[in-house]
Amino acid sequence: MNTHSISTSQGSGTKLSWKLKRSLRRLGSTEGLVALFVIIILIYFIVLPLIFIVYESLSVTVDDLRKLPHASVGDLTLHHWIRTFTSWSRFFKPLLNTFIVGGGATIAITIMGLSLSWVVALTDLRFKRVIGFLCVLPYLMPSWAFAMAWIEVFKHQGVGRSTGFLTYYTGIQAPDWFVFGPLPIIIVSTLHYFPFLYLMVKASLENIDSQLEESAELLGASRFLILKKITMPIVAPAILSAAVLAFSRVMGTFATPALLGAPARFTVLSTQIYSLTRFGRMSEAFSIALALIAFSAIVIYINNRFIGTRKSFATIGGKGTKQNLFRFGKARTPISLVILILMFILIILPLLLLAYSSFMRVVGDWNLSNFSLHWWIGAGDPKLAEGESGILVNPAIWRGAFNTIRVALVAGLMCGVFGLFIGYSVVRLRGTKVAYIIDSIGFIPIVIPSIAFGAVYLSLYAIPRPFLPMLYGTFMLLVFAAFAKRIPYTTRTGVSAMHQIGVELEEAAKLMGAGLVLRFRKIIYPLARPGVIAGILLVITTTVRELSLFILLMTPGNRVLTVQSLTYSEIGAQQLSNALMTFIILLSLVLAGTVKTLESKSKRKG
Amino acid sequence: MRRLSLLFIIAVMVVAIGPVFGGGQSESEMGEHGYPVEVEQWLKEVKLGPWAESEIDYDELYEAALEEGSVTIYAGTSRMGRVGESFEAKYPGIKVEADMMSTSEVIEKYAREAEAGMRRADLVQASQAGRQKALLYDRNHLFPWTPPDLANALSEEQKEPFLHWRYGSRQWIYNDNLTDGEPFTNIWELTEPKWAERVIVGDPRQDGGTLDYFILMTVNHEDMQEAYEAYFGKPFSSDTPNAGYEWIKQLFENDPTFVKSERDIPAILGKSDRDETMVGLIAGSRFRDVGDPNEGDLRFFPTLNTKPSIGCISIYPVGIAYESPHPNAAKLFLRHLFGDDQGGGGYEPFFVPGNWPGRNDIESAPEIEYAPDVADALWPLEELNFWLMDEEEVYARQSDVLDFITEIF
Repeated sequence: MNTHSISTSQGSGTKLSWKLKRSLRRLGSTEGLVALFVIIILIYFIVLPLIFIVYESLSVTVDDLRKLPHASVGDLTLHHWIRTFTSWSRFFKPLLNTFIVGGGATIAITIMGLSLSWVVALTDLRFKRVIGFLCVLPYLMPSWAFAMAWIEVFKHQGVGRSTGFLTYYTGIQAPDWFVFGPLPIIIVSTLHYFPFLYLMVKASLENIDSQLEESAELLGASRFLILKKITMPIVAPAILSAAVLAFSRVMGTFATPALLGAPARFTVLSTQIYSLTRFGRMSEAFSIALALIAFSAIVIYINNRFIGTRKSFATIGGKGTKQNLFRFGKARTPISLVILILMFILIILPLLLLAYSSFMRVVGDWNLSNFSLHWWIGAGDPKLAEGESGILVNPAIWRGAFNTIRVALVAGLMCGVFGLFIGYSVVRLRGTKVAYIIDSIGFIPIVIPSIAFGAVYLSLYAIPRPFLPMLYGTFMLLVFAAFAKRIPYTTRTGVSAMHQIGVELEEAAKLMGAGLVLRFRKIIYPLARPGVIAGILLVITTTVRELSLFILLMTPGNRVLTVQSLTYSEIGAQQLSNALMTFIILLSLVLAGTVKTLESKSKRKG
Repeated sequence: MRRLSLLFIIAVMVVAIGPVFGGGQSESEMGEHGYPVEVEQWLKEVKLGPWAESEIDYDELYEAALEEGSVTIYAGTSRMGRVGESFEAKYPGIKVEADMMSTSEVIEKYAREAEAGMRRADLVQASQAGRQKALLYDRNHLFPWTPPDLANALSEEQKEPFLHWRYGSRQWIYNDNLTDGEPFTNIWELTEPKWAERVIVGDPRQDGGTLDYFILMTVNHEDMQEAYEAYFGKPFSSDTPNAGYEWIKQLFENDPTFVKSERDIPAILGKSDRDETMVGLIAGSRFRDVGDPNEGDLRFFPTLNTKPSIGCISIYPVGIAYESPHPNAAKLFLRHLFGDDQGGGGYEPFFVPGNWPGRNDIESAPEIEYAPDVADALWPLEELNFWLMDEEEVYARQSDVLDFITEIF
């Protein structure tokens, strides 16, 4: 009835009503139901916190009374927005620097991730398993591990540090701009975040049916033409998604620019946000976060326009897929070796440095006589690290490990399932506003700084509200926060996985009378599996080493492992903290490995 | 139907969000001592504030605390873990939950919980006393309590508005193996070209204590101006607001070495293989590590003759949380934190050179195994030329100075 009255009003109204009708019709369908579910979840976990952020960025805090002596707490004000968006040094300069670093790193990440995913997925490279493993490893490491390793290797007295490895062994002094500043931040961020792109693009490359490429070849298309007309369009959504994600992650990283940027007085937005949150200016930090959200909404819009206009990328049709691998021929072994060695130097070496330093009784003494298991299994010695015992004999560590595993697994599975739903609704409703909204909202958490996200969750869930249970102090709040913060990962993996699944399979099943659950179980999930699993693994591994998101939310019963690392760094116990970090990396490896194994077992059975 | 379901979602959202924004505090009636009535009710009940007892039987307090069974403290230092252990050993049956975070996280977490009416913490211990006063003490979320037996060991200014549990410094150090005597005696020397790249400071945009020190320079600008005129022998003039700002600006123009945290500084300047002397601004807590072979055998020594001051002293308060779930255990723990008059007991982890107790009845200096000369140099506090942090003024100026530093960074 309402629809009718709109459609008869005016010309533009008619168009609107037609659109509305179309989206309503679609909403009533299966896709609509899934989308509705997705939207409700997004409202609770992202939109509500977001509204809260907007509200906080617009209201007077106790700290603001210093600047606004006549206001009272809770009043609405534009104070934070004006302060933020009129400041060159607090907003625009770091923004510019963020683009320099983020842009540079994203280009490098794309090149590195793309080449590696191609050689692993589509060539006859040797040592594939090892190289594939090395490609995921950096993501398991804390972002500061590479930055610290960088400083250890390149520092020298000329930049106001002690002598590092390079200068010690060769006498060469790296130029100042190579030790600190934007360039090392780009390099270190690239090494840390390329696995994003690698994982996502590899999943999508593995889904390409090489019959497409073969047919083109039979028709006489050149390699380049095939690449341009077939391969690239198919993997483009995954590449773009991953690149956007990588850019946002680089933009949000704090430790690397803080360690490598501050000495060169190079500021980015993340260090600026961190600085504001430290000194009671959370509302200004929220204002910056809102600007970042607006910015990424634009990027996603462009992204959607670009991909959304193409009709379809469905490559998994009714027929089976098989792939022909590119052959390197004679160059196979040398190329494989070169890649292997490079990866070893870039990834294993920093990791070994980290692990080895946890076996040094005295910090900084690389002599073999200094080798000790004290930090792992030693009983507390009052002379060392405030009497903290080795991590493996510390019951707090095991309790923390148990909690960490619980949070990571539950959040990972939730994200995996939910990502599939998101992907399904975004892809099936492609081109509609609903899809765009879901896609954009699903991306928001990534640009909200973790500590701010934790603060919002704390305030939102600390008192009971209608429809919102009081979750503060419960294990589920940690899970929900981890889940919400990582929805972007699974959105990206879910969407790019679903992009490739043709709609005709599902339609056929629908005709045969298969219900929604059955279709998800028998068609969607099996086909989207590589993407979903990649998403789950991303979530698990990143949750295991998450700290700033949880720090405000943890209560005695649900402390996670990383919280202990804070204690260690506070008492200056570098080796203990390195031992713990090694332990955390091993833990995420084991978890990720277990998930993969279970999954492939179930696949063989099913 | 679909329309309806959409409307339903919107309605749910509105209802759910609504209370998020309901203005925080309702106006409440004031009691006889100027606190809201319900706050006075609670203070009376747990014997705090105006109702605090002048004598207390600690055995009875222990009995009462035993019934409560546990105590939770939010602490800005990881050494609180050791205090917890000694407390549990001394008072069996009471479990200690020490939530250790950074100072800003302690304040953020407790303030948000308190504003939401969540009652989890019994005690809160952190630095940034000025911010704590504005966010926590002035808003009746936190209360001081002086253990009656320590009433004479603390002066009146140390008891209100927050209890001075201990002090910590932010001060200049150098490696005295590399130089004869102190490398500089006036703070303005550090703005001279010969000190370019040789002054190491924590990044003040991340490192709270370093920022506080810079802010204090702008507060004590008259001292700074005097030192300027003594050093350069000419009257002070500047286009910055005062001599404190001017010093910060000139220091930054002289290319100091910034590190993420002052924690990294001893390892840089304390090594014996350095070519030239560097000076750095560190937290007093670092002196624990001087000469310790387990910490890399670093050597550094405090400057003792710097004009106008060798650094600053900040206050580390401890307070009891409003509606603390375990008020008796909280009092017992607070008392334990102060230790005995030899610097032992619960205070033991903090009885180190570079930290000073709030109680004034500890006579002897803390000992440090590998550098007794450092321990001697830093005791007693009264004889050292420190500035005492004007916590409230520093808090009031924090935004301005931070913005100024961000501008010239």
